[in-house]
Amino acid sequence: MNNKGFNLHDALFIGFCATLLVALKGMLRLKLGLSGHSMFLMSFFYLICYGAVGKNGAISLCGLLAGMMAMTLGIGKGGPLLLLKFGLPAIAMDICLLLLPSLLALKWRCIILALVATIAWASKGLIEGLLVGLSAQVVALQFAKSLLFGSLFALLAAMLVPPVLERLRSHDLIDREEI
Amino acid sequence: MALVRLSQIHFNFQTAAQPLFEDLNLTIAPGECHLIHGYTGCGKSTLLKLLLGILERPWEGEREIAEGATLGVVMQDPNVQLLRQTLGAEVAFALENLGVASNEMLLQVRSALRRVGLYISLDTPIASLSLGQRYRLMIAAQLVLEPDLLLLDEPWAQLDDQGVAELSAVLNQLKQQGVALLIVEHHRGVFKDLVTHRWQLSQGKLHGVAPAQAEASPSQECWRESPAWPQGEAVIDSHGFTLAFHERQKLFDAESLLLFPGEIAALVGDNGCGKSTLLKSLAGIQADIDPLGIKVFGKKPKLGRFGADLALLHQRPSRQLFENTVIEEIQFSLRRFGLPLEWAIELLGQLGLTTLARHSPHTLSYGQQHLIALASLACFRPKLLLLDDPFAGLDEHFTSKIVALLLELSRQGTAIVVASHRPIAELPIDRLWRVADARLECFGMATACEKQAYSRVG
Repeated sequence: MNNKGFNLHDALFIGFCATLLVALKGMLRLKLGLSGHSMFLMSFFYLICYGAVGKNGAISLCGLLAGMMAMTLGIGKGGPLLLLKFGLPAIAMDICLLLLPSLLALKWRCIILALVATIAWASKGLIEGLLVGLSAQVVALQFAKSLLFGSLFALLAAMLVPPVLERLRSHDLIDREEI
Repeated sequence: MALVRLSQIHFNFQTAAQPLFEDLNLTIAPGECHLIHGYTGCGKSTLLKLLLGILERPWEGEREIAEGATLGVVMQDPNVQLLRQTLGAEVAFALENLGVASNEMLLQVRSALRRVGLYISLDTPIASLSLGQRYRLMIAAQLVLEPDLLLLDEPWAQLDDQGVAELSAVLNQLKQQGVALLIVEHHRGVFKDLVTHRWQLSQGKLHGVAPAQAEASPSQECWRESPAWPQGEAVIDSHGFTLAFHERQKLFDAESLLLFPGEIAALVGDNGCGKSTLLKSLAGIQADIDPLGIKVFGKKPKLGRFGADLALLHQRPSRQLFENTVIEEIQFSLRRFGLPLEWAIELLGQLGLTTLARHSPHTLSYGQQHLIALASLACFRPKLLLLDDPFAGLDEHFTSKIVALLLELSRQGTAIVVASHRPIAELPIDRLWRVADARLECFGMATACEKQAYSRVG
C-alpha cells in the first residue's frame, strides 16, 4: 500500500465500485430473509476497490461515496444511518490494512478484511439495538447471529475477489504486480 | 524545425527479458512522411502510444513536441476507434467535447469530410460505409482538430487495393498541406510515392532502410501441385446458393462450392463483399441470413453442431481470446475436447512463441493476438478450419510459420478456407473462391490458368 494520492484511474475505480454496489442493491432489492446477505456485495466491491487501487483510504472513500449515494437515492432503510452502514465496514477495512502484513497472500488478506468488515457491520446493529433500549441479551444474540451469517456471505465474496482481480490485470485494467 | 523529437528512449515491459526500445531516436518535421517497418510484436504500436503520450508504463528518455503542435491517430481497427452511429456525429465528436458552437461545427465537419473526399450525407450510418470509407472517416475525425502529425497503425493489412488507393490519395494531399505523417506497416511495397523516410524497428532502435530494399513483389495466388485430391467425401458441398441478409440486398450468388479434406481454399474479395459472412454461415453462427443451400460435413450448418470438427478464426482476434494467459488460452480447447495439454506447448514451440506462454493474450499486439487465436484453434486439429484474414498484422517471419502450420494441418487432412482482401503469395492453394461483382466464382489450378491465359489474350 502506498499513499501518493489518487489519480484519475483510481478515482474511476472507486466511483465504479461504489456505483455498482448501490446500483446492484437498488436493482436486485433482494428479500432473501437471510441475515447478512448484504455483506456479500459490500465485501466484494470494497475488496475489488482495494485490489484495483491499493492506496490508503480508497475503501473508506468508496464506502462513504456508496453511503451518500444510497442515502440520496433512498436505497435501503435507515436515512442518515445508511452512511454508517456503508462507511463503517469500509473504514474498518482501511484501519485493518494499516496493521495487516502486505506479505500475506492476497486470498488471506481478502478473507481477514472481509471478516473485519463483518464485525464493523454487525456492530452497527449492536449500536442500534442499544439505542432503542433492547435488553443486553437480545442485543448480544442479534449481534452473534449477524456476525455468523454476515461472515459466511463476506467469506464467499472474499473467495471470488482474487480471480476477478487476476482477470482485470490480464486485461491491463490494473497494474499491480502483487495481484 | 522539428515537430516531434524522441531522444534516447529506453522502455521495457516488466515481464519482458529484453528492452523494447533501447536508445531509440526519431525526429519528424512538418510535411515529412515516415514509414516504420518491424516484425510482429517489436513495439510499433507501443511507439505510437509513446508519441501520443498515452504510454502508461514508465519509460526513460526525452519526448519533445513543438509548442502548440497537435497529434492525431488512426488506429489499426476502425471498429475500436469509431464511436458514433452516423458520419456527421463521428466527425463532430471532438468538436462537441471542445464546446465549439454548432454553426461553426457544421462548417468544420463539412470541410474535414471534403478534405478526405467523402461527399456523402452527414446522416449516413457508419455501418453502411466500406472499410476504405471508414478509414477516411477516421482521418476526417482527426482533421477537425487540425493535427500537425497524423499517426497511422498498419492501414494496409485492413484495406483492399481500392481502399489503399483512396487512402494514399488522401495522405498525399495532407502531406502537401504540410501535415507530417507516421505510418507503421509490415508491408514494404506500399505508400512508395508518399514516403520520405523509411525505418526498420529492430533490437530497440530505428534503422534507416533504403527504398531499394523496401520493394516487394505484388500479391498473386500460388497454386499447390496437389497430390491425388480430392480424397474422401466433400467437407463443404453446395450446388449453388445466394448469400443475402433477410429483406436486404444480396451479397453474392454462387454456382457451386466444393472443398475436400486436406484442400486449401483462398476466399478473396474486396472489403464488405461478404467473405466474413460466408465463413460465419459455414460455421452456422451467422444470424439474419436467408437459408443457404450449403452442407458442411453433409449437414446444414448450425451453432454447436460440429464440435471439435470445425474451427473459425474471427477477423478481430480479440473477440475470441478470454483466458488470463496465452498457455491457458491454447489449452482451453484441448481440455474441452479431452486432448493432451502438451500439444499446446509443442505448438507454441513450433511457432516460436514459447516466451509468450505466461503473457496475458489481451495485452499483446494485434498480430500476436492473431497468432495466439490461430494457435488455439490449430492445436486441436479440426477437420475444417475457417480463417478470416489470418495474416493481418503478421510479418514475413510469422507468415511463413503460419503457412508451414497450415500446410502441415492440410497434410493431416484438415480442409482450410482462408479469407483475405488479396491473394496470399506465400500460401499454396488448391482452390480459389473469388468474390467480385456480387458473384462468387470458383477456380481450380487448371481453370485459373485458363482464365489468366484468356485474359492475357483478351
